[in-house]
Amino acid sequence: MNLQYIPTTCPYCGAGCGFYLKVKDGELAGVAPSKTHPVSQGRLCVKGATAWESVIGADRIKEPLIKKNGKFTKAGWDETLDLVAEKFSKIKENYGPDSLGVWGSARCTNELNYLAQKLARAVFGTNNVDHCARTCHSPTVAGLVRSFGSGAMTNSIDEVKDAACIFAIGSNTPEAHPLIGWRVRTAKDKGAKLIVCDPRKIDTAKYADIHIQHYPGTDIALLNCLMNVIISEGLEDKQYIKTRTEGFEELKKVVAKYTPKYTAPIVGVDADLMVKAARLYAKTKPASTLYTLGITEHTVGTENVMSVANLAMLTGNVGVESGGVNPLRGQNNVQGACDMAALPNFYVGYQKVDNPAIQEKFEKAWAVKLSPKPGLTTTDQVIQAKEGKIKGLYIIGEDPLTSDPNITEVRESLEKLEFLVVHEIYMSPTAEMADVVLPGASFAEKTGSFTNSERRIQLINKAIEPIGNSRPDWQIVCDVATRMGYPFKYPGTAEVMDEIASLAPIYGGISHDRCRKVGLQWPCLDKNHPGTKYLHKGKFTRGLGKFHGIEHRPPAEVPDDEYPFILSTGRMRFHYNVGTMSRRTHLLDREFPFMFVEVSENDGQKLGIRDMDDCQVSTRRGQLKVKARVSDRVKEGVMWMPFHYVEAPANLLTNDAFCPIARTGEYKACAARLEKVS
Amino acid sequence: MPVTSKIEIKNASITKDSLSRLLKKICKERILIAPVRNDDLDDVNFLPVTNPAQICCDYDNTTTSPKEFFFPQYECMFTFSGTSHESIEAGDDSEEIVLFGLRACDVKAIELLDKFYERNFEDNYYLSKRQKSVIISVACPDLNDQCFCTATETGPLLQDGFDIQLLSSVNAYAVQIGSEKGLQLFEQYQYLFGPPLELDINKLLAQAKKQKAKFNLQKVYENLKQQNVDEDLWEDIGARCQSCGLCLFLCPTCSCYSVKDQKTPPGENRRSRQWDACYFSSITRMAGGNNPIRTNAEMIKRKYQHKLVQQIDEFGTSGCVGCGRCNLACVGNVNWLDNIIKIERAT
Ligand code: SF4
Ligand code: SF4
Ligand code: SF4
Repeated sequence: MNLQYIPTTCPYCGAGCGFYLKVKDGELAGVAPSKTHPVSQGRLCVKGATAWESVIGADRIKEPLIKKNGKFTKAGWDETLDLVAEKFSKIKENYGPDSLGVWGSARCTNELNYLAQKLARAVFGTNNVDHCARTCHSPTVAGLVRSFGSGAMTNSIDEVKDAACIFAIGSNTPEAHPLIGWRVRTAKDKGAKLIVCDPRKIDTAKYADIHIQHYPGTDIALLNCLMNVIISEGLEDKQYIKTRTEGFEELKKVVAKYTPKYTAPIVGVDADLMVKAARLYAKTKPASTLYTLGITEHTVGTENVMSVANLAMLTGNVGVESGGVNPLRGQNNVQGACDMAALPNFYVGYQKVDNPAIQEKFEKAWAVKLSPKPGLTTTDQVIQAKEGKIKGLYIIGEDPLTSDPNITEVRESLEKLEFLVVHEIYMSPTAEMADVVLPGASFAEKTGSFTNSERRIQLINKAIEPIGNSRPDWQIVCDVATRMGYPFKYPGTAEVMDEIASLAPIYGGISHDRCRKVGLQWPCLDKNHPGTKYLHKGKFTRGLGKFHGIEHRPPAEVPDDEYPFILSTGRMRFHYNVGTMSRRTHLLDREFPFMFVEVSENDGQKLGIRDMDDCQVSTRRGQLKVKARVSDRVKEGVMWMPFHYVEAPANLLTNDAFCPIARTGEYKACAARLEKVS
Repeated sequence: MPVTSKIEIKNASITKDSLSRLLKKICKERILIAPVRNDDLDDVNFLPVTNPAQICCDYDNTTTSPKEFFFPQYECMFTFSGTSHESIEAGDDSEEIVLFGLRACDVKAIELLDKFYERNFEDNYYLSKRQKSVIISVACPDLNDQCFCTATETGPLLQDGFDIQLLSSVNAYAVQIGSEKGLQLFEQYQYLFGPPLELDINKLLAQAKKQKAKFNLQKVYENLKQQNVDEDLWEDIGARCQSCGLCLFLCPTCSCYSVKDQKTPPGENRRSRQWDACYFSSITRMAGGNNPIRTNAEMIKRKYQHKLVQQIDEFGTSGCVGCGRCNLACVGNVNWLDNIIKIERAT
């Protein structure tokens, strides 16, 4: 018997738990927790505890596939890579570099994302490179850069448990980030005050001191109201505002209007409760603010983020231990994919592509001419594909046909492409549309690193051989680049990280060896730098923190007679995103095997819909037949759906209206109708 | 065939040097499984070793339990092709193994699993592995702040139920042999062992018993059985539990599993089983969607009832062996030991 425990990092959420993969005679055979890991500390959520099963489904893609006459045929690697290189080269020659695009992936390693953006920039010659953070936390990067100068979680995960007050808005922490939810629970058990703002009665809301159940899409009004109370009662941190920030007068002017009385009908919350929350928050320090996609996935996503930043600065809670503004990143490596510049406007480490000095630095390092023009986001690549301007796409580990809003539109766009390459571990609706499917190796079959939500760079280790004829994604990208005439030569992922460290100052001191035990948190400037626990201590990255006065704007689509509900979507503890891995895990899928919509008891009664009845949810974009779950969890007038089910994708319904700054879709609010199906 | 048969306890001793030699010999002839510290993360777990130098001697207890060598987290039961069969042979991948370094609680846990997998229906996947194993356990010097074997009467040293038990003394171990399997191993390597030490085992036992029990098991049993516990406690634990399953996966006595059939192309099918847990609501949900366990509070009560009442009724010993593994494994801060103490104090 050969049983091994291989330490690795969880492939699911951005908490970044560590655990061991059990490998028995060369096969994955379980997961064991680690008591010494800084994030997980002997614990895991159910997805981590069952993660071994997620990548060994019998239907893993085991061979490269080339579509011939509408049907996939198995092919060898050489033939496939030649074809990919030839097609991309031709498109580049015929239509110019900007007719190509690359999608990196928040599911894949830092090394893969670095190489993918280098492929786009140095080989394709375009800045059209982006990844799925566009659908989640791009407003965080855009917003926090404007407010603080740096777009990442300010504090560390373990600090949350020592906060005196936790203000969680648009974050279903225990379900979406269970190991951060554990810290919220611990803080509360130790006597911290907890304020939860969420349209649903989520678990944390049940034990919160105050639960504000506002309507989806009214966060700015709510936050402005809290600030209005704080300022009118003189509870703001005057010294901090004076020495550390700018723009306070502008903020004060804008929030003056948002008295509790004025705001109450907009947000659907009792005025007194908001006053109580404002006082509790302002008087209990340090206060840690947690938010996730309830804030970002709106047409006002970036402004929502800046409003959250306003509130934290107003009370002097940024740059202090156990305080801060903490966007909890949804995917295992969404932080890393951003850091690695799978983004259209940055080089690795948030260095702007339109800065000539930076451009020169990268031209020298990569020995190639680079484009000074910021590229297109995934959102705009899809739109331009429809217009015939984008001709070829290389999509790595993503499934926009399930995850993007209004997928009917996305399908029409992808159909227009001349050449689509999808790089996946299981077939997905997007992969089905591809001309070439490249079988990637899963997290258990390769080495590399992920950067978790608290900026901690951690390693994954190879536990088993790549399944079938699949290959580690970073090697595939290297081969494509090499075949297009720009050799990518790296002996392993450690050397890719060394190149990253040499180019991105915030990763300057990072190496695989240094990350082996408990990882390192960036900024880590040189080989002796210990890493950074929390940001903006003493001084913001941008110098002074900046307040922005922001007016409330309703979602792009609001309820009317025809579509009287607000439909919101989100994640559950037992599943993960488009379900590729969690739906293939026996215990996870058994717990929640089918799609449903949550409705309030009153609405259920009005429409004659009882728990588990069949019903139909429709929006202007489509309809789905699902089971109704009737409970007191959602607010009256609101419906909620998970988006994990390919057979009933919630994104048939969601609105493809986008945040104008970050280009993120409004997944969290659109108008919808509910009917009983007999 | 029973997995183990007890004999009258025989005493001997072994020096630390000879123990190394013994383990080296065992490595060559069978599979030796012993505590190993991970190089990257610091956890200590039972793993196969090829050289006794890999063994970690400085540990309270392992993060995971040794049950996985008999009841693996994931195991292929059999494979088949085609659709219709008269009968299919069960797979058997059992090998001769020696487990070294188990703590008393884990030995008692395996004894309980033996009883469970032997009763009513003999589970050969488990039993065949057990039959081919010998366990050399090492008594604990002390209790740590999470474990509580003196309350469950499962340690820190054992009076019976072991194959071979070592008790640390100055430069040597006192050795006790308590089963046929233990005796066979002892006889094979008898030249490495010495005469019994002048160590009064009964005195050690009495001393161990004096370590204060963290609760009174009888009282806990009665309060649970008579339903003296306030519903608020169950409500609170139920609200805290996030159904991660970890406290049950880590438990050395938990024995639930789920069976799954899977097509593995080309044309082969595989039936496997994997650890399951009673803290998933779907474990009791029926096909029509009905669930006899309606609330989280009812769901989480079961572990307390099963381990601290039913198993005591059925086997005469506690279903919890006090290893403490589940106390600090919970994302909802459900602490099993604290809750048992609350149950004890219910009246
Ligand atoms: S909390 Fe997140 S990182 Fe941790 S085990 Fe669960 S999914 Fe994985
Ligand atoms: S219930 Fe907890 S303390 Fe008791 S044996 Fe199981 S893991 Fe150990
Ligand atoms: S460890 Fe906690 S959350 Fe997980 S199953 Fe056990 S009680 Fe529930």
